Amino acid sequence: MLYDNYAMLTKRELLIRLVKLLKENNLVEGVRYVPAEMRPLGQKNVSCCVHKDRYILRHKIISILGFDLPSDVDVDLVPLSYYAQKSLENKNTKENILSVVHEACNACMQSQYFITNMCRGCEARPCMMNCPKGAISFKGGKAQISQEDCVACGLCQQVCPYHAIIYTPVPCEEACPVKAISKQPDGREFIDKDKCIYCGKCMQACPYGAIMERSKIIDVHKCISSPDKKITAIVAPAIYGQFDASPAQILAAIKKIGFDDVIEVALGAEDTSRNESAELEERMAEGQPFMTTSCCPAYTGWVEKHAPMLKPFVSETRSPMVYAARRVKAADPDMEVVFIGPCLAKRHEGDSVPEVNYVMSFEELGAFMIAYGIEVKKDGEGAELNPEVTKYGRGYAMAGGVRNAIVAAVGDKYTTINIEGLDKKNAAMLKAMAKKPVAQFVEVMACEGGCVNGPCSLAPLTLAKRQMKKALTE
Amino acid sequence: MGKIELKICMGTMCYVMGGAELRAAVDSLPREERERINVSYAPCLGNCNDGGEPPYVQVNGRTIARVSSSNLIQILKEELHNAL
Ligand code: FES
Repeated sequence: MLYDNYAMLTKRELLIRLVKLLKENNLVEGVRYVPAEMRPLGQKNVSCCVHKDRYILRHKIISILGFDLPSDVDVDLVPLSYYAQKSLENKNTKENILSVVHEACNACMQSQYFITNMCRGCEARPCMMNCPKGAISFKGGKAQISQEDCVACGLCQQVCPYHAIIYTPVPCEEACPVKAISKQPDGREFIDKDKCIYCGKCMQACPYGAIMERSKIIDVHKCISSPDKKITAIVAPAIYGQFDASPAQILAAIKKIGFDDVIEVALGAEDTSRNESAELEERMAEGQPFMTTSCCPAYTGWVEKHAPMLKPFVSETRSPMVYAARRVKAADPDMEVVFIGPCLAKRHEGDSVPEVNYVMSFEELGAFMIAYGIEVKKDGEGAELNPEVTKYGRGYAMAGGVRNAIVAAVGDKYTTINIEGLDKKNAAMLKAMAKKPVAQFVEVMACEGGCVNGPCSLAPLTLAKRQMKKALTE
Repeated sequence: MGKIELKICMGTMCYVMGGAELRAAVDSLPREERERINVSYAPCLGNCNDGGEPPYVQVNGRTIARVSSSNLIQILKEELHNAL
């Protein structure tokens, strides 16, 4: 699939520019110029005009700086420098992991079937004849759909001989597997925190980049730049799919940004594998029907909020992030820990893990690398890997990886499957398992393909998979 | 039939700002066309010091800024045609 997404590139450019300003110690002064620098006069606009473009960027910056939008105050009365200053003083108030930047949200039309003017008003009128709800009538020789009666079955679209009927979706709503995002009366989208599992699908789907995640660049930069703070980066194994370089080079390059240490989360995955296989043996010995993994926070969030019948079967073993962070804190309690990964739901998981101070995305990491002039191959030379980490620990990044690790530990005496993605079909299958399990060990990852396809990745999936496989065989 | 030299910048700036997608774009060309392109991957081409307009590629030595998958394909098709 060829898919260039400028909304995604805009977010990355914003991150890069803000980290650069942080590094130059010029955030408060410089931030106000970013919108105009990114959308100079005389260039093609993205929205209706250059002013709206800049205005949207301004709001996205406020969100990245750590303030919830929409807010109670009129943000246009407040200069960006004020937000920057507040954010540097740790007074950024953002609690929401995901928020909709309303200025960017296009308030897409309610999703519906819609008759275009390709309609010829033919005599056959299959749309009207086949509509099970009698929602289609003809006026002035053209078909029209009564939206009140339409149940969106799509039959009319299938039978129209002129392909005159289109479906206009709301991309974020279509992408959300749990119906957590929906329209308010004003047409703008709203995310229901009680339903959201932080899978990040809406964020990827929105063609306007209107859904922004909480950022930690300010906090992490502060730790890196201040001499009296120490910070260790624990990096998810999916990182090996992100760059065309060896795992050792990638880790060393990250360290060069200025972290005191860089640890593989795959090391924590070794702990997870050990505990998880012990737990599996135990549960099987007790006669339990099956057990599912617990390392994917979007999946455990989904069980919590949408599939409580599965709760007794989810393993209690903690995720690799937790074990990796505990190792760091055990060695040095004063060390701050930032988890860096491709995952949005980890930001949520991180909030409840005291050993993890910050969670950052690969996109934010990319911004740091650029601002600090890091070139992975060059800056990562001569590094070595921790021999304790095996290919099974690193394999957690790909769908099937946890299953492989468990089979390697306990042998193939239990039946196993792996499920990737929480689409309708998989969700139904999982829920049914509470009554009728299809395997004794069930690996679940909310992203198709596993963490290498996480919503905050840098490399497209085909490339990430190829690079990941190469890294695992090295 | 002439060959085309395509150099894709794999410096961090270009890679993050869309260069990663370009690798896949070239591989999506039909085989007869793909075979006529020598693809190489370069470290930072040095255009991005002040931000610049990444991602950059070079087609037969000509530097092109702000490349997307679709305009890269278009440029390559033109060059392939000219080199026939
Ligand atoms: S990274 Fe491509 S020109 Fe520098």
